[in-house]
Parts: sequence; C-alpha cells; structure tokens
Amino acid sequence: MSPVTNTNYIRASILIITYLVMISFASSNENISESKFSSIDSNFHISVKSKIDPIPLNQIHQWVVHITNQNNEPVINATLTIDGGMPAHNHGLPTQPVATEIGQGNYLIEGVKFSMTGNWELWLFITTETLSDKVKITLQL
Amino acid sequence: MRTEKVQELLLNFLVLCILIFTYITELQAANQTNWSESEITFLKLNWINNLPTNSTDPSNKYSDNLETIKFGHLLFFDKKFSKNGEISCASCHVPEKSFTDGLAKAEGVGTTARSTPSIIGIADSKWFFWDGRSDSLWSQALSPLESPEEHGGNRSQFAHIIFNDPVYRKSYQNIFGALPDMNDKTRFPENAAPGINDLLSSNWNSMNEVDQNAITRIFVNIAKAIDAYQRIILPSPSRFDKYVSAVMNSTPNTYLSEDEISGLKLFIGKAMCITCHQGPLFTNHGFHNVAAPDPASSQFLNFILNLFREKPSFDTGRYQGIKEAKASKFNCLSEYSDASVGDCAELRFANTAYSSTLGAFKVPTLRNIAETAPYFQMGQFSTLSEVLNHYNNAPEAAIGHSELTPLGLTSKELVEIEAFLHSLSSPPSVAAEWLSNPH
Repeated sequence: MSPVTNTNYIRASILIITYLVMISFASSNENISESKFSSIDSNFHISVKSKIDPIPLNQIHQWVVHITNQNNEPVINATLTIDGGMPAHNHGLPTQPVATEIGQGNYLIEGVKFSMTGNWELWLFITTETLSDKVKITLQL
Repeated sequence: MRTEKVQELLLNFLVLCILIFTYITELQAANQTNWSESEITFLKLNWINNLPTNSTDPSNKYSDNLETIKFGHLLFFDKKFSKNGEISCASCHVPEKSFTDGLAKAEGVGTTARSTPSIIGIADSKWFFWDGRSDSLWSQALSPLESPEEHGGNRSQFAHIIFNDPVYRKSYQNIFGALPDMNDKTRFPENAAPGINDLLSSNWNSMNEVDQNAITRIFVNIAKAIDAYQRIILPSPSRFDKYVSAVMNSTPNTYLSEDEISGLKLFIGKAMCITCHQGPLFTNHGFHNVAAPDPASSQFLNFILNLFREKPSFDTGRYQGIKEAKASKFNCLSEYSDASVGDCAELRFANTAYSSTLGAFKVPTLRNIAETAPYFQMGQFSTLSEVLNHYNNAPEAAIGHSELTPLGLTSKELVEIEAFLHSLSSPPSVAAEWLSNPH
C-alpha cells in the first residue's frame, strides 16, 4: 500500500470518527437518559431515566430513578417527593409528580411534565429512616 | 502513481461536495430572513402542521362518530336548551366572531364573571375554562347549560327536550341507546336538578336514585355530543403558517410584511411571548400568573375579608379551578367518564400547590387574537396595544406571584409585535355548513 493510499484511509477514518463522535454528542444532549447525580450532602447517588426518550414536551410521562447510598448499595424503603420549576420564569412544575418504590433501589416517578422549552430544575427530596438529602436535576428542553 | 493521484483527487472532490452540500442546507434552513437554528425550532413548534387533526378524548367514546358530531351540531345551535328559549352555545361562541362574543363578560340569561374564550382548536386542550375547572370538553359543556347566568336550564328539562323531539330522540337512541319512558311527569319532573335552587332541588329529591342517574346520564350524553361537534372546529393555516411553510421550503414569499417579521422575531426573542404561547395553537395549555388586574382584589378591606371567606370574591383562578376539577362528579375518574385511570394523568398529577396556582389563568390561544377583543379572563384590556403594554411594564400581581419581568420594549417594537399578531387570523378549516345554524 502506497503512502498516498494510507493518507486517504487515515483521512477517511478521521472523517468517520468525527461524524460518530458528533452523533454521540448530539444524542446525549437531547435527553437525560442514564444521567447520574449526587445529592447535596453526598448521602445518595441516583441515576435517572425517562421512559420516553427524548423527553417529550407537554406530555405527561414517567421516569425511573435508581438510588444508591455511599457504599453503592441500593436504597430501599425511601420516601421521595418531587418539586421544581423554571427559575428564570418564576414558576413551578405544571404537575405534581408522585414517586412509588418498585424494588431493588428503583423508584417510579409518575406525572412528569414539562410545558415549555427552556431550562428546568427538578428537586428530589429523599428520606430514609436515618438520612434525609436532596438532589438537584437540571435539564434543558 | 497516476491511479493513486486520481483516487486522491476524487476523495478531495467528495469531501468538497459534502462541505458544499452542508453549507447549502444550512443556508436553506436559515432562509432569506436569516433565522437562526433556535428560531427555526420555535417557528416549527408553533406551525399549524404540528396541530393534531384527529386528537381523541378517551373519556368520550362517542366523540369520533359522525352521527354524534351531527347531533352535537344541532344541540350547539338550539336555543331551546335554555331557561328562556333564547340562549344556545352559539349565542356566546358566535362562529362569525371566531366563536367568541366581543364582550368583556359573557351574557347569557344573566351576566357571567368571565369572558368567552374561542373554541377554535379547543380539542387540543387538556383543561377547560379560564381556571381549568373541567378536564374534558364534555364536562365543560355541562356547566353553562345549568349555570343560572348562562343557559339557566336544568338537566331534567334537557332530557325532556330530547325525549319529546322525534329527530333528537332518534339520533340520541342511535348513538347512546334507549331512553327511559319519560311520559310520567311525577316520576320525571319537567324541571329538576341538584344544587341550583330550592325548587329544582326539591323536584330532584322527589325522584328515585335510578331515575336521577338516568337523567344525569342523558345530560352527560348531550354534553358528549356537543364535545364531538366542537372537536371538528380546527383552525386553517394563517399567514404566519404560510410564511413558515415558505421558510421551510426556502421559497421567497410576501406572506408577512417587514414589520410583521420583526414582530415575529421579537415574539420568539426579546419579548419572550413564546415562553407560554408555544405550540401550534400558540399556547402551552398551562396556567400562569401574568399579573392580570382584578378590581376586587385591589380594595384592601375586601382583600382582608376574602382571606376569611371560603370562596373569595376576587378571582383566584387555577387555585380554585383545580380544587373544583378534582372534586367534580364529572371528571376523568368519574362514573360518567369512558376513560381508564391511566388516561387521567392530567387530573391525577395536576399541581394543586397554592404557590403555583393562585392567580394563575389558562394561557389562551393567540390564533385569531386580533379578532377576539377584549382580552384576559374578564376582558380587562380592550386592545392588543393595552395587553402588550401590560406585559412590557410587568406590574405586581393583584393576587399571588407574577411570572412577568419588565421587557424594555420600545414603542416601535410594540407596534411590530402587534402587527405580527394580526398575521395569526384564519377561519376554521371545516366546511361552511358546520359553521351555520342547522335549524
């Protein structure tokens, strides 16, 4: 194989890799699938996944939240409450989402809805028998 | 070597082609008015092509039936469904006035507390009335029929009209099934309903529970037919929509004037109208506190007294509305709804918090807004210019917390936004026969 052909292959490969990287970045910005957050006092770590991907506008949908403690163990029997809104527009959530435990550290959040594009903020208040902490989730629609 | 040189040239040519193609595509998207990518996103969001043309309501299983639509059309225009035989749905929702009435407060048998909203595109809503106290179009229709200020009628009266009119009786039975034999006026009083006045309540309480339920079922089915008719009243493309179509296709056009285009840019930019007026009907269907003036709340003594009243005299908007929707005997979870629990997420998860709902009102559609003055829930503003000045100044809320911030728009910019709002007018897309009185 001549040096010219080699250069061509390298150039083509760089183009393809750049394209793939761009695609992966584009899709990761569209939703918060598999996104991970830590609570303010670092008592809990959560991963959040919307059941509809990407997150829909103006449609009630569900999220699944997986909660682990500092030892990376699933947190069971926790109580979750949800609040949030759009700080820039001085208003809260259009709905009042409700969390239900579904096992193995997983919690189903029903009633999630975002009524407009822009920056949203969600707060998850997590309470167990011994700990209480909150997680801030920010997302842009 | 010669072959390799050709290969390299070909590859370079291919890369160049890709770059040129990408550049042209970007140029097309940007259009001749230099719309940015994010602005194009907003144009598309509000484009009529995104409006569902066949939205369904799981709580009304009869709504997609042509016979129900025809039946609803007859009922919508029939003045017999009122206390004095002079009021129909079309008395306030006047087709020639974009299904509004031009009044600050609707006039039925009496005067109501709020203005008449347009029903064009109403099927796309999740909540009804300015305060969202109904969660379906059929449960909404029940309320004015028995309101003493609107139709002023009662459910037993309406059931007798259906039973005694051969055309109505045939249509009703084809759609909803058999009617009870209502010839016995002792068993079925001509006027009866719960909770309107003593006489109607007394007549209502004289009926047994089975007959009460039969009458209420007829009342609900009347509303479901009116719902079915209203669902077909959709907007046709406005000049704005034609402009967006042209932008999408990179077609030079004159659908909007220079002022209107400037107004559109402000609408989705500096003026932030798009924050709430987002979506193909120019509404996010949400409830927001926009510091609507309320004469009752501005009186200090009245304000203090209202704190101790179960139902304040000033308008608390969504705060009271969601309470009523949750408690309604005709909501999505009620026995009269055809929906399953899973279909009622809007009701089950509605935000009832004081801080989010007090003084908040439903965001109205802006389609045909130039034709539907006066504005706001009590017709507080006579002109679009007054409305835009209100948003520009962002006063304190009369009740609750305002979401507005001062916009700093110049007089010229306000005129441009107003000019743009005139481009949102268009007649309903249905055939003319559906817009006229069928009687």
